[in-house]
Amino acid sequence: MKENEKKGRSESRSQLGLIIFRFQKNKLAILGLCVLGILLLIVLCAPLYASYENAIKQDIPNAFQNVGSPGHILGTDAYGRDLFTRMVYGGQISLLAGISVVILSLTAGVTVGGIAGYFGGWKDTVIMRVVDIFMAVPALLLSLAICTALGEGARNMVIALMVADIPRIARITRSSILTLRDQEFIEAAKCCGTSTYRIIVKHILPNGIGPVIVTATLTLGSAILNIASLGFLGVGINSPTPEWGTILSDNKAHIRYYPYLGLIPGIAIAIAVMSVNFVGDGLRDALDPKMKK
Amino acid sequence: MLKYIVRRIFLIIPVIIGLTLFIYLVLSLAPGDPVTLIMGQDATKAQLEVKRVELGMDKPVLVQYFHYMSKILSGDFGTSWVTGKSVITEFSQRAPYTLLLAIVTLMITVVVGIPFGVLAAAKQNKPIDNTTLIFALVFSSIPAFWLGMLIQILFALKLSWFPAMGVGTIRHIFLPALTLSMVNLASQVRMTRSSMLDVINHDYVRTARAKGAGEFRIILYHVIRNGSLPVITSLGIAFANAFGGAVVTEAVFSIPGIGSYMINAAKTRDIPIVMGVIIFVAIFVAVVNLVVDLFYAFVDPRVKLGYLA
Repeated sequence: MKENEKKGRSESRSQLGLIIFRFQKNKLAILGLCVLGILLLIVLCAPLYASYENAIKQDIPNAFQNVGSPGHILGTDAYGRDLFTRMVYGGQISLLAGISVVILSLTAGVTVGGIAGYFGGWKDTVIMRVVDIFMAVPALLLSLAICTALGEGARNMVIALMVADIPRIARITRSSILTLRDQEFIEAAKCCGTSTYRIIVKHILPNGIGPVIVTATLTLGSAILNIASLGFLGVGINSPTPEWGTILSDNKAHIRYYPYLGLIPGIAIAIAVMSVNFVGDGLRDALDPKMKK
Repeated sequence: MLKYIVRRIFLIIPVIIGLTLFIYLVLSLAPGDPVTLIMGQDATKAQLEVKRVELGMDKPVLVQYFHYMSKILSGDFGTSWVTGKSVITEFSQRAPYTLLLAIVTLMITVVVGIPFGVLAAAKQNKPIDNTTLIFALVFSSIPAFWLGMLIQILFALKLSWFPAMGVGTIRHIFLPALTLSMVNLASQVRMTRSSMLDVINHDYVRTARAKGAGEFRIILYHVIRNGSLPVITSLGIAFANAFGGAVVTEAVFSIPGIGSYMINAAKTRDIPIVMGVIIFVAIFVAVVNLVVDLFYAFVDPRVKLGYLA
């Protein structure tokens, strides 16, 4: 029994090794991963080199300092706030809120979709009806409605985006499990008297998690975009708290004459989302080579 | 066929009940008193109480919900908490702008997205395929509101080809529609490409080639027709998503449509408007999905047989 287990483990490692091998052959995916890592490092280490005070404190005489002016690498905005400091602290909210949205909706979505897919029957019917309800309107609109009902603030925004993302992840999990549920090796495991918990954790999850991980990665991209959109619309996080979307919306009126005020936050969002999408694409190809054509 | 359509329309009802009930419950759980919000901080306790009874908010939340839904059944969507205007009147004034925006967006998506998807599939793994895919990926990563601002600055302020904001002429709708379609284009191109690739390796395509049919004829008659179902689905999704994306685009281009109606309501927590918009959009999306499914039957006779059974 122990030997068997060991064998199984070493095999799953070689499977993992294969996935890593395929992933690292994709140059764009590796680039995306590196850029994402660097962004996270810059943003998370912000307290080490920039004080939050500078991101909030207004200093009108110093307004509209250009990019590269002394003390302000990326210049200052209409209120004389240092754009670089605002960008790094804004990135903390944008990226960390995005990651929380994905982790929360992944946990909830996999649980719910897993129950629906594995147990079937009335549980499946009820869960999928509820999922249909939440997929009936575009995600951004649903998040906006939930934000309205809950009121503003970062926590409420994360909840709103999470509710909009759970159904998509639940659906993918369910369909991925449905294709596995009736296969011979699951039947064989059942015949051996394996417990349901063990079947799910040892047999279903490793085989069915691929598409779910890909969806979750792509969800991170759309979550960062949606957080920025809500911030831009003035619904999620409000000025003066820096967030990439609110920075853009604050600077909206001045972009025509001070282009860097619009270019920098926009490029930051685009780079972050693009890196996430590259990683997601690479993961898709690495996890399921048959999909690649 | 008619039976199928009627059944599908009835399926919209539980979806709407679920959505509205959810938003009502969230609202009742959220901190903050809506009546204080409507009347402002200066209102006296007595004034608040009068307004509360007037709006029916002194009753339990489920009773309120029941009351709201029964009014909706008779076509009364209530009035805005802030302006006091009828939701349905203002909605019907604003809806045409958003609908026009969505239609023009869809047209741009079809005219640009499908040819490029087909081209990418036909020239699989050639430079044009890779370039198309990278462009698609880049544009799907750019925030719509930022793209809108850039397009506004380039085409309206620098080049003055189109008006920068507002509505009025058909020229006004072009830049917002361009912005909105850029966001959809990425998924449209990829979807078209992959469903064409599904078909392109089938035996009948090889047979057509063996018969000596030209490449153009093969793509047009054999590949596109058979690979079009997923493309139609994604067009339906794009059309429905245009209503979600309109929220952002309308804010950038100052279009007085449903999207900007929703944002203003979201900022002031004007629940009757939010509920009304959600209900309308849910119905709209369901109808679009139904039309897409019916279109399947038109394109693919096998699907039609399924509906008749």
